[in-house]
Amino acid sequence: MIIETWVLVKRELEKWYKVPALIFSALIQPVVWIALFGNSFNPTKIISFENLTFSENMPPEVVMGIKEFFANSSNLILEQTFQGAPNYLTYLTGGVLSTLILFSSAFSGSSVIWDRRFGFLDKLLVAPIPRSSIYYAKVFSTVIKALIQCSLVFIIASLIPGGLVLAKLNITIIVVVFVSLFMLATGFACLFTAMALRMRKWETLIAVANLVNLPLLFASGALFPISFMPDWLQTIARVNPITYSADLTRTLFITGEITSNVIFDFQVLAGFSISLMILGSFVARYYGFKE
Amino acid sequence: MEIVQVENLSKVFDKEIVAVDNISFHVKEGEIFGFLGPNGAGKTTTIKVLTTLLQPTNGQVNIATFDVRKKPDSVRRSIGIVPQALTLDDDLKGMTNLLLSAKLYRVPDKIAKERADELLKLVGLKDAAERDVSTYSGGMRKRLELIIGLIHNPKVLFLDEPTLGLDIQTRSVIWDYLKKLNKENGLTIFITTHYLEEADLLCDRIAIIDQGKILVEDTPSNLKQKLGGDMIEISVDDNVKAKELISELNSVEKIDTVGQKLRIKTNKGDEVLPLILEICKANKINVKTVALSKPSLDEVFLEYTGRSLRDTGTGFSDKAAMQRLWKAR
Repeated sequence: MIIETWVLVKRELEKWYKVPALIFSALIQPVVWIALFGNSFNPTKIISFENLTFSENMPPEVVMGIKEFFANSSNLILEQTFQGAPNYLTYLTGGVLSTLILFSSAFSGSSVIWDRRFGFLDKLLVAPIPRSSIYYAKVFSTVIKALIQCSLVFIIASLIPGGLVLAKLNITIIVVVFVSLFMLATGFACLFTAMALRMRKWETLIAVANLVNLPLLFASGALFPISFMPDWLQTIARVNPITYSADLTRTLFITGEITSNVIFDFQVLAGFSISLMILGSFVARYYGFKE
Repeated sequence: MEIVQVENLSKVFDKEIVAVDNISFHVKEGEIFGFLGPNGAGKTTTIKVLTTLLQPTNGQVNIATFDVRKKPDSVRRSIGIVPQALTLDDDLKGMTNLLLSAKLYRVPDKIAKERADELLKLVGLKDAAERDVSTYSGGMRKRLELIIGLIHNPKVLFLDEPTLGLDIQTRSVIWDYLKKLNKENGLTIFITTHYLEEADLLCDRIAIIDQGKILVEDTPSNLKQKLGGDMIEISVDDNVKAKELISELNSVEKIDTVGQKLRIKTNKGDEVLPLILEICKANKINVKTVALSKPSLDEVFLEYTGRSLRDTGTGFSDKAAMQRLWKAR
């Protein structure tokens, strides 16, 4: 089972790294989020008024006070709303990494559909290998690709001026961040690959991916704190695993401490990935490859 | 030993489309067995059941002593498959495709490499082995597909229309490989085809299948024999006189007037034809045209199915055939 899965994962990765354009095109979106969205919609800039005019009747102390307040506003916002992040991009990066995982997992099923179309799946189905190894090969190749892309985005975000600033950089933080991203990716890849197993058309997959991608992104804490949201949306965000992965990642980036919040997020993500792996293996075994 | 045993096999799709209808046949070890029939006859469905891709609705199928229902993995290990549709990974090299398959069948790396080199040499793909399959021609793909089916040294090789859409040269090259493998390695081969010459040339035994049923099963020469010999067609200027004279010849079995021509059925066409010409000359009968035809599988097929293999309309509902194709994917 493990040998066959690994053989098939290697096939997927070989096809992938032969086309560098694929790797880089997948990086464009997260980098756009950070460099364009993060810079232009930066909430800390929204309230930083610089050329305010005051009526002459105003006492100078009040004018001074107001000016001082606004000069300090971005720090205040960062401290109050963005968990004391050094800048908004640091806050955003945690969310963007999780978003990247979602977007690349959503299309993980596409190669199943191609393999079915081009007959390669038939070859696998007549080979003496467990059916679930075909499924898990798709899942784990997606996970590996997504994590490699995450590392690249992480590096790019750190290099951008005014970008990601880590409170601490140690091996524990990196390991915990990547393990939790791994769990998020596994969960989503299991889900989307299982959905694609019986699909005959690529268009169906694109429709499903487009249908869920943006709602899952906006109904999560990836871009803004969920306290900004109306109550009903907060409820949705609380069952969205992206919220937990984004929270875990950015807390570690900003504080560098494994807090009780981080542990809770980690547990939620572990539950998410384990339950979807179990569900996926049932789908692959009893439903996905039947005639 | 009978390596393929099929007893009363039926396959029904959606509870109403009967693709294979209660067929039985056996294939002996070391034999080339041909499954001949028009498009939509049930050949591919049968091969899919035999190779564990589809579950039989009814009946018993044993491959290399293993039941396809109970021991699919043992069946899969014993067989090699060259499917009708191509199943190569275009984005990988020929060699990578070959070794990937070897790994899935757990062929040890060293043996796999040796066998791969040997097989690539056999089908003349040695120089193309390190190129991506997307650069291959149709014939090269088929040859690669063929040796992928052989990389794990199977007991039975299943070929589903292996030469479909290939030019005549490539086709005969593939026939040569198959014969060689059969003769030198004693490989049992199960082949479906709708090319009669292919079945005639390759197969030790043939089963003709149409509309899901096996109509006849025998060796190609026996099948032809059953049709009863050769046919001579001549047109002369005096049909009545010629008919009278020719019917007196010993080896002529039957003589009919068909339109303007005389049709003579005989067992020894090669010998009778010169005699006929001699008689006509001696009696001053002018011979305008003459044709000798030996029975072909084409005629066998016509005899048993009531229509030619080359007819496009198979007489079978196109819709059912389409649905079956769709299902079989």
